[in-house]
Amino acid sequence: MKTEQQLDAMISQLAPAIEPQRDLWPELSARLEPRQRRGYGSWMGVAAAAVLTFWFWPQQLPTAPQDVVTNAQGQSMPAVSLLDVSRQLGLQLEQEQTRQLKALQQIPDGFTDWAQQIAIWNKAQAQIELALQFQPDNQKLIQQLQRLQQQQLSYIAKLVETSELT
Amino acid sequence: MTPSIKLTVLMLALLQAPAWAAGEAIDQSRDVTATEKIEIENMRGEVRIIAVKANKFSVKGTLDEKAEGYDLVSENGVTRFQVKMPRTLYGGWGSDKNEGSDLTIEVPFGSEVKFSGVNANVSATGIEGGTRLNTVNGAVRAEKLKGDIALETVNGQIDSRDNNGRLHLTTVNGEINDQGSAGSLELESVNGEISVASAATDVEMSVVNGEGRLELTGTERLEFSSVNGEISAAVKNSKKPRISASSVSGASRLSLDADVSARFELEASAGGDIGNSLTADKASRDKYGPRRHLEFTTGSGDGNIEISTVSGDIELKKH
Repeated sequence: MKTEQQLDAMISQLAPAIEPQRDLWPELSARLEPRQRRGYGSWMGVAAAAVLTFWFWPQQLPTAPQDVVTNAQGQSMPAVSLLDVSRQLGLQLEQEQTRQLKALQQIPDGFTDWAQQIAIWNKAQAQIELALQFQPDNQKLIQQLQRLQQQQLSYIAKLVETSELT
Repeated sequence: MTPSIKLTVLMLALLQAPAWAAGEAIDQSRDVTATEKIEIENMRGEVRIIAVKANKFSVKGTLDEKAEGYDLVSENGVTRFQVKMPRTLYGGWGSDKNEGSDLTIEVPFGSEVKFSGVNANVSATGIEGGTRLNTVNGAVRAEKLKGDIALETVNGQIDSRDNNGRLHLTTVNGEINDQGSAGSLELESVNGEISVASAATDVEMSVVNGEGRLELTGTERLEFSSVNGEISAAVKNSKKPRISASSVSGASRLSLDADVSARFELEASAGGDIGNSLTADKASRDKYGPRRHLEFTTGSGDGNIEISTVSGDIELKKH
C-alpha cells in the first residue's frame, strides 16, 4: 500500500491541466444552439398565450378537476396547458366572430363565402388538435394553432372594415 | 348604313352615356415641400400617382360623375386631396368599373403618399418617401417605390415592380405579383395566388388557400406559412439562410444551393411525407404515432432550416 507521501509525490508529477484528445466544442455547440432557439420560441409562445389569455379571458377556467400549481406569491392556481389556453381562445374567437357577423348589415363582395372560409380554418385547427393528442408538448403545433386563430381574427376584422366602407 | 340604323346606333350610344360620361374636369396644382405628406381619397375610378422632380402637387383629369366637388388643402407640409362623394352612395358604391374619376396626380419624389379608395384602381410610380395604397375592389400597381411601402386590396390584383424598402403586400382574394423587389418583403393572402421574384433579404409570406411561388436571390431570412395552399420556394445565392416554414395540409417545397451550410429540422406531425434530395438523409417515423422527422446538417451548419407540417408534404431539393 502506498503511503500518503508517495501519493502526493505521484499527484505532483501529473500535468496541472487535462485536455480532451479532440475538440469537443463543435459537437456541444451544435447541441446547444437549437435548444436555445426552442427555448426562446417556447417562451414567446407562452408569453403570447399569456398575454392573449389575460386580454380576452373574462370567463371562468375549465371546471374539470385539474392539477394545482403555486405561483410566486404562494397562491394556489389551477395548472392550464397551452392547448387548454388555445382551446379557450378558440371558443372566445368563435363568440367574437358570431357577435361581429351578426352586427353586419350586409356581407361585402369578396366575403360572401365567409362561412366556408371559417370552416376551412376550423378544419385546420381540428387537424392540429388531433396532432397535439400525439404530441401534447409540441410548441410548433401550439404556435400554428395560435397563428390560425390570429388569421381568423384578421379576416373577420377585414370583413367588418370592408362592410363599413362599401 | 340606313338612316334607321344610324338612329338606332345613336340612341344606343346615348343610352350608354352615363357609363362613360365625364365628370367635372380638374387641373389644379400647389407648391409643396420636397418631403410633403400627401393624402389622397378617391372612391371610384382610376388614379395614377407619378413622382416628379418638381416640388409641386398637381392633379389633372376628370372627377367622378357623382362627385360633389373636391377638397384640396395644402399647408404645413401636408396636402390633402379628396373627391367628395354624396353620403347616399355610402353603402352602395356600385361595381361598374367604367364609373368614377380618371385622375393623374404628380407628387415630388421625396413625398410620402397615402391613397385610399373603394372601387378604384390605383398605380404609383417613383415615390421615395413611403407609399400606402389601399383599395377594396380594384387593382394596385406600384413601380420603383422606396421606403415603407404598403399595398392593399380585398378583391383585386397587386402588381409590384422594382420596389425597394419595407414592402407589405396584402390581399384577401386577389393575386400578388412582385418582381424585382429588394429590402424586406411581407406578403399576405387568403385565397389569392402569390408569385414573387425578389432579391429581398428578409421575406415573410402567409397564405391560407392560395398558392405561393417564390424565386428568391440572396435572401437571408425566409418565413412562410400556409393552411391548405402549396408553397414552392427557391432560394439562390444564400449559403447560410434562416428559413422557417409551416403548413397544415399544404405542401412546402424548398429548393436550395447545393453547397448550403445549415442545420435542417423537418417534421410532419400527422401523416405528411418528407422528401429530401438535397442529401442522402431520409426521414424516420416515430415508433408510436404518425410523426415523421428528419434532422441533418450540411457544411458547418451555419444557417438554420425548420419546416413543419401537420399532414402536408415537405420536399427539399437542390437547384
